[in-house]
Amino acid sequence: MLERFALGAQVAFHPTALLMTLVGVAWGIVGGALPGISGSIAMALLLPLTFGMDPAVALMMLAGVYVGAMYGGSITAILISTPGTPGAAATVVDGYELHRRGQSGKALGVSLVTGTIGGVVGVFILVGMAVPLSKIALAFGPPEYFALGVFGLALISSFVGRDLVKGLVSALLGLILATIGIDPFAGTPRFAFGNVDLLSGVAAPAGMIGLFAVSEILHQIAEGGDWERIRGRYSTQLPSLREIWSLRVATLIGIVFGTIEGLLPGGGGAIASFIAYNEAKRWSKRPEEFGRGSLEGVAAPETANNVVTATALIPLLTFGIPGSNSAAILLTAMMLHGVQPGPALFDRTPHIVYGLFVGLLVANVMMLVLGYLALRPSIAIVNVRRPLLLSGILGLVLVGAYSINNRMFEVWIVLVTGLVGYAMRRYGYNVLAMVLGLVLGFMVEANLRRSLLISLGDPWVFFTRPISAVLLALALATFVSPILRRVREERRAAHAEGVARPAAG
Amino acid sequence: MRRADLVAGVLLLALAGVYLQQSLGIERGFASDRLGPAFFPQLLGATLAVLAGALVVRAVLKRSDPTPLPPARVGLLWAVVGLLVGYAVVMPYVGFLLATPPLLAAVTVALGLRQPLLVVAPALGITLVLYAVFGRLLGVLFPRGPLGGW
Amino acid sequence: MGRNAVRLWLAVALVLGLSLTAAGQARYPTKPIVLVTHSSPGAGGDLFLRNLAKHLEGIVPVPLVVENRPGGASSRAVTYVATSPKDGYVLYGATPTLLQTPIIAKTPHSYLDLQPVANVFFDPMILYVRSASPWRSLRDVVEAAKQRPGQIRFGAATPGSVEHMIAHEVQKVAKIQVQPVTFEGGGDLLVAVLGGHVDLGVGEYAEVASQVQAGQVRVLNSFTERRVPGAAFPTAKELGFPIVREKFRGLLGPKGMDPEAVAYWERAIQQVLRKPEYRQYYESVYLVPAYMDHVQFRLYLDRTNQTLRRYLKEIGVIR
Repeated sequence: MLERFALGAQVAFHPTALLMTLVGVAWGIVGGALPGISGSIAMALLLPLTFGMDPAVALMMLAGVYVGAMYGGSITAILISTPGTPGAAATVVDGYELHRRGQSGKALGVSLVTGTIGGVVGVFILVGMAVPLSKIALAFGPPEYFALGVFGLALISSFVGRDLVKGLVSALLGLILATIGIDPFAGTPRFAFGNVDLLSGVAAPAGMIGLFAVSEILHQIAEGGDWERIRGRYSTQLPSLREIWSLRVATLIGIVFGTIEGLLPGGGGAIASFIAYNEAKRWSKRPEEFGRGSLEGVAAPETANNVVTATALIPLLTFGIPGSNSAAILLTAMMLHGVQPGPALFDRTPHIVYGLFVGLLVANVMMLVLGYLALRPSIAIVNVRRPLLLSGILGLVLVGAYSINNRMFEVWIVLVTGLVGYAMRRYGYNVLAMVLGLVLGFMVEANLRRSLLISLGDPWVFFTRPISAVLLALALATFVSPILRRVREERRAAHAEGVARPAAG
Repeated sequence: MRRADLVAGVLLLALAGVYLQQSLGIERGFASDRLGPAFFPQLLGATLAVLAGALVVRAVLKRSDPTPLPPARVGLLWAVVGLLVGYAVVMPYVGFLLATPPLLAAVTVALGLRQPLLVVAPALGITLVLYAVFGRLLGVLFPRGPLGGW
Repeated sequence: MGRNAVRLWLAVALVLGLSLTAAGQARYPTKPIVLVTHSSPGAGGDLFLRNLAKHLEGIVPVPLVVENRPGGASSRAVTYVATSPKDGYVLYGATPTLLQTPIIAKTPHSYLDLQPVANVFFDPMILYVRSASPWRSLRDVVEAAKQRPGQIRFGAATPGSVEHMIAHEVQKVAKIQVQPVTFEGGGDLLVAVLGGHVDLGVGEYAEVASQVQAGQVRVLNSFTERRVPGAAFPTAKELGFPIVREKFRGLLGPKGMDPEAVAYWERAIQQVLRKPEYRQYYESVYLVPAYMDHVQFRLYLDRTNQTLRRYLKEIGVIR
């Protein structure tokens, strides 16, 4: 094992390899930070450049983009409330809240440090346990994916605050949006109204840009103060070491759920960060800070996202199955260079595999350095006068929406969801619940129907299979417990009032 | 918030109705699964109808209205929304480079910035940067309009 | 006429002659050619065009630009190409989606609004099981399905896809009933087969090849006309089930495209398929070269479109 690492290091520390990885990480940070340009597109655009390279160097460069894009995405999630991927949606909640309170440097710093920790730990998990962990992926069939999706949806009850009815309505709006397009089981269109643009459905990134970013801009415009007067007051102060140490539990939680998520190629890629967020809140000493700017609320999902970048390579390397669009591009690059994924890969071409592993570690360190260097300039950009900032963000997100599919349709989606999102914010609905519904809706429905196909119609399949039964029980507990707690608190408050009143009278 | 809840409840009921009505028209085919393409939408539509009903009932029954909404600058909001819609309508015809600077400048002015230089220069600058990064570097195909590309 | 006048006329004639020959030499192609795909960057159709463009360097003397026009299940890309100038500078890299979408939904343009130029590849389709499965041949599957009708879980893609069509035809030809299980992607299906959640799957050979080499998956047969090069498994035809279905990858231009440009591309495709570096690439991703000229490709598309329409009627997706 050590020998192979030495071999990998030899490949990865070659000056050309280091330079290409650096270029990859820098490009990834930029690509990830631009709305509408996901990590996978940033990688695809670099792919032709790698044709002439040594296969190991090519893979390292692409892996650099992959790693860098994850941090790039959290820059926009935190500074302008625009998550580039569904995985970054959970980061918006507390990251953007911290930024609003002026603690931008702390939020970005925590995301950077815990992200790097997640990335590095992820690589060691990948190296040490790839083959045994790949068995977990095989244990997950359609009923298990269904149960996992339900678990994700059950988190809504703890996200929505006091008004459960409005929270559930919000989630339903997201789920309804996700049913638009060609139904994969029947092969027929649903809710497309004869419009060809609707055949492929509503792209989740467009919905997220509208619901998070545009609605936030409209909210600021309608409810803000005197724009001309307000100037930026976003601090570049970084988190202290003590603050980072206080995030250890949240980071650990992120590692656990990120590992599991990465293994499941059909998982959709967003559940881990949401579950990690929710668990971090449950285990936190200060759960009341969540949603109001908690550093732990940034640490948990960001760790999870970065662990996923590494563990998503497990199904890729062992089965040749890409768990995400980015992994699909790595797979293509491997095939182009004649590297066949599969269990034998580790023995057949160790210099490429271990070169990639060491390269991933190097890329994570580079991300830490480049991210640190990019931190102050990116906060400086948002410190301009508010009217300029808002019009600049509008320009950026409209262009981002357009570039998802090179057409106006996504721009319209962003405008409509933005307006809906603003109304939802104003009247006490929950935008995050709607995003969760939009992101998970299709996965839940498809796996429900698929499960009933493989069970030949037996609905008990969800309860007779142990993993799915446990996940569903956890989902129920997750859904009910915040409600019970709220009821109990209200009753106690009412009781206290009842006791207090006669004494006063 | 009571009146808002009442209005929202009624609107959501209408949405649920239209959605359920549309779900009846989905082609099922013979190759589909047991549940079919309409089952999940109908489940969602029915649940939405129930929740919207609850919202209406609650709005009618609840006497007190504890949280009055803060005032919003509705005029300004609709002005910006109007600009955005106008942009989306016009952009395919006049092209990205011609449509974007006026939008950005107009939004800046609407938000209260009046110095000509501070309005015009950033609007042009941001447009050019976006065009260079997305259009040139990332290969996004913007509508060109009469100006053409370069 | 003085001597100078003669010189002048000579000069004029010379200039005219030169410019005429120059005009004659300025033959297609003289400016960059756009290759349009309905895939996003990095997806299958996009990579096909990008690699083709890369290996056509040196064969086609002008730059080849790949443009992504995703959305609308390929209808946007088709409309874009169908309404482009007919001079041969805009081509569409097509897959079977070209035929499927207009049948299922009302689209502004279909393949009939395009001029077939040449087909380039077939993606071979195969039937596979996990290695622990007792089945060694499609005949075993048919046997099992006769004993337990409707209970064999047969993983395939969405109705309308080539995979689902194969599952449908296997049932028709072998007179059996199975339970088709829809998966959105070939990778998801492979995991389900490996995990034993479904009994067998049909998919692209490229998606399962690495697991075949690792001994995790056994290919029962292909659905190709001839055996897949270098493969040990038979075709369904050899086993007595005449089912031949594949995914095509070809080029089309706008209807009425300049015949000279069509002929140019026919030559260029034949040439690039012979190029050793390109051959090395497409063999590594298990694409089978399947050149068709514009006449053959047109007939192939017509035939495939009819079969597809009949099948979609049989499964009730269209009336």
